[in-house]
Amino acid sequence: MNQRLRPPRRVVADRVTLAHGGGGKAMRDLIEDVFTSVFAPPGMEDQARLMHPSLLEPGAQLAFTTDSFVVSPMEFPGGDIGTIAVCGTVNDLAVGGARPLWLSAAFIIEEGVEIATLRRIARSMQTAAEVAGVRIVTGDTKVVGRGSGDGVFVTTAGVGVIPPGRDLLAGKVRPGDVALVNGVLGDHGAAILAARGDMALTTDVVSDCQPLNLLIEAVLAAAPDVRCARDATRGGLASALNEIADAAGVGVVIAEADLPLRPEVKGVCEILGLDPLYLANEGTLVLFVPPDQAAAALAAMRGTAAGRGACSIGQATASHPGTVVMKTVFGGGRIVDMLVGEQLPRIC
Amino acid sequence: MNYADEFRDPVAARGVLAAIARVTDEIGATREKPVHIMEICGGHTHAIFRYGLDKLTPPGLEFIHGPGCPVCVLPMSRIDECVEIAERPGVIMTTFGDAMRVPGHRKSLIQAKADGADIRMVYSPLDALELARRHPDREVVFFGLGFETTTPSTALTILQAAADGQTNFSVFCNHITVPPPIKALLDDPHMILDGFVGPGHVSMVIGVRPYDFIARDYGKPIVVAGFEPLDLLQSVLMVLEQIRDGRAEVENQYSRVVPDDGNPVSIAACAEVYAPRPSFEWRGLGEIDASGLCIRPAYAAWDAEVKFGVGYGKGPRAVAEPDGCRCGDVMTGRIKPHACPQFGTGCTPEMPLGALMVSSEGACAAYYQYGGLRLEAAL
Amino acid sequence: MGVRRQVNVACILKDEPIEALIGTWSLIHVGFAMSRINEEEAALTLDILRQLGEAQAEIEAMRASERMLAS
Ligand code: SF4
Repeated sequence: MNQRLRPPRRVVADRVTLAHGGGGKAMRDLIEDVFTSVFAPPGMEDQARLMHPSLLEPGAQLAFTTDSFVVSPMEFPGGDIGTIAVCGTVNDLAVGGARPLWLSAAFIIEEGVEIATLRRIARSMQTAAEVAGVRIVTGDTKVVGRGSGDGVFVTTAGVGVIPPGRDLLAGKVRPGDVALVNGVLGDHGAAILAARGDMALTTDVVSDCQPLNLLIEAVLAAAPDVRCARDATRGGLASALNEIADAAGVGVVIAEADLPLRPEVKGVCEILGLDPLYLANEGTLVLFVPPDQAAAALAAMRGTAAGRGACSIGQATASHPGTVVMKTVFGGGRIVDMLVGEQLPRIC
Repeated sequence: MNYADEFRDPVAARGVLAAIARVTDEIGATREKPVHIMEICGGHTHAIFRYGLDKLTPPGLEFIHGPGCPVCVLPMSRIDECVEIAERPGVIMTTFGDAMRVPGHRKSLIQAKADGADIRMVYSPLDALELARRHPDREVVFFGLGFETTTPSTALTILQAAADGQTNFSVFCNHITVPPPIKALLDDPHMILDGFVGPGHVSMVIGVRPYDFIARDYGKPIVVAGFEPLDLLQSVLMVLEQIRDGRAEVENQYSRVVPDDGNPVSIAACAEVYAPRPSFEWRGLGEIDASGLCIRPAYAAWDAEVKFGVGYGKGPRAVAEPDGCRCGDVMTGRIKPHACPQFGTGCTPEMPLGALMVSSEGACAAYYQYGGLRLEAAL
Repeated sequence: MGVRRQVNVACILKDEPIEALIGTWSLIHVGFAMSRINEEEAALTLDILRQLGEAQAEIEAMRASERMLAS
């Protein structure tokens, strides 16, 4: 970005008005004060011009992804919409084996949102970006009238580089491969449910939202033949496993006794009749490793901040291709299917 | 000790399962000639599939999944009426989550919400009352449904609303009772049931005596059961022992929660607020005499049927279920869910045709989601 | 700790102050405490279950040693 010839402006209003979307000074002030001054080094230029040495390596591939984020409430224990907007896109790149480098961030802001809220969201985004080692380099803001949005919607796109020779693909999972997760399941889903307040439940569970790229790098260094990784976001672990089973044409067997769950998450699920396997996560992944590298992968995960609670939860098998089966604590079995629509509390 | 985990102990489970196998043998039941035990309650059906219990019991023991999922048996006409109320201007309809997907003739509550009705999920009727307090300018309606387990909570909420003078709150009452449909099943000439596992949470409210007729008049054993897997297995064992010994009694496995006489405060609240309806429609079973509850005239101010003029029986009572639906046959144990021609094709959890596909407590949905044929192929 | 939720205790309160409930376990359904857990009954039920479990463990051990002797 060019040297500034004038001092940075400050937004004086308390809330976003349609004027902030008008393309004039108010909008410029909003972008500069709330966003670009936080995204260090200053980002949000309309066009980012980028170069990175890893792109020049023969055999390197560019990875490019985008995702939109809507979450209610916008701020919740353990993060906010900004945190997941960065982590989500970083993780989408990372589970494909890419090293995330740059992000864009586009905001659709509903008239009336507090400027202070926007500042907190921007701050969270920058913090998450720093943890992940990525830069937010371009972006956009639009303001919509009251009632046309729901607070703030954020869209991030991400660019990363897949080093030569790396090829993580769900289709590569083979029978016998071991399934590992990096930590407890369902924290994000449970935290959001409680934060929404409709069910009047309170817990101390916080969202697990965190970038996973450093963890994946560590695992790949220790266990180079990792077949694939998948972040268990919407639809939870169950959906991630089903997608993998489908893509690879293998069966997956997980053991209920091995699933890492916080007592609080179990509690929320029991009260509301929900299945933790379907609760969303924002910083939890499952990866499949050949059995001879499972121990190394596990140790590598546990050595990272995002993987302290890592453990093995099951295995791919040649039988029942495309189907995920859970061995219950009783030795019985049940199919863990894809979710049908949204998981609704089952109360009576 | 938290009175839940202890009842999930796999070691004890092996013991109960071995005893179940032994007694099933002693009865002389085989895969070809099995004993049929019905778990009445949807919570039990759910637990059986959730823990894979049906795969652990001997082939000579067959579970028949009963009508005890209150969401599943809600007839289409009542959903229609609920949608009609929800779509009135100014109304906030509140409901338990699992009722959102139940199909009506026109639409489900989920569809009505998408079409603009203000429909919100709550955990408790008390939360609906609280919503009424916070929105004095709106009419908050609670979609009251459920068996005797849930009936008192709605009654106590109405009493609370009456005491507070909260007049913008009302209940669309669809509460139903367990004993009448069991009687209807027992009166069915095709009935093949040998015994029952009774719904523990219902008995926590009404006690165990309302089931006396099952043992006394029909000579069938019933054991009131808790909801942890060991509770369920132990209850099955107790039913089998009764069958083996030629006894027909009402036994209480869930005595840590179920007093023989139930809960007097709950019973009194229900008697105060509700009167029995002459009959009520059950999806898949049709009209059953005295199986539903309505709100007494003294509490008409909190009765959504009165407030919105949509009383039971005003709309078309289309008992006819969709073509090809075999819910009745599944519920009476005549066929297994996958024997229904609609199963998995015309009828799926995304687009349920019949009642038993609606909630994961329904036998067909549980089969579809947790296993049934696919699981047998997998194991 | 855990999950917290306000519940109505009218159904389980006998002629006693509400403090009497402190430390007791109760079954909660849709925001109402519906039944106090009867600890003695719970212990009795668990006893029976444990006995069944132990008996089975003994049978299994016996079978295992018989198999050992037979082989
Ligand atoms: S598959 Fe559908 S229509 Fe057939 S019995 Fe089950 S719920 Fe009824």
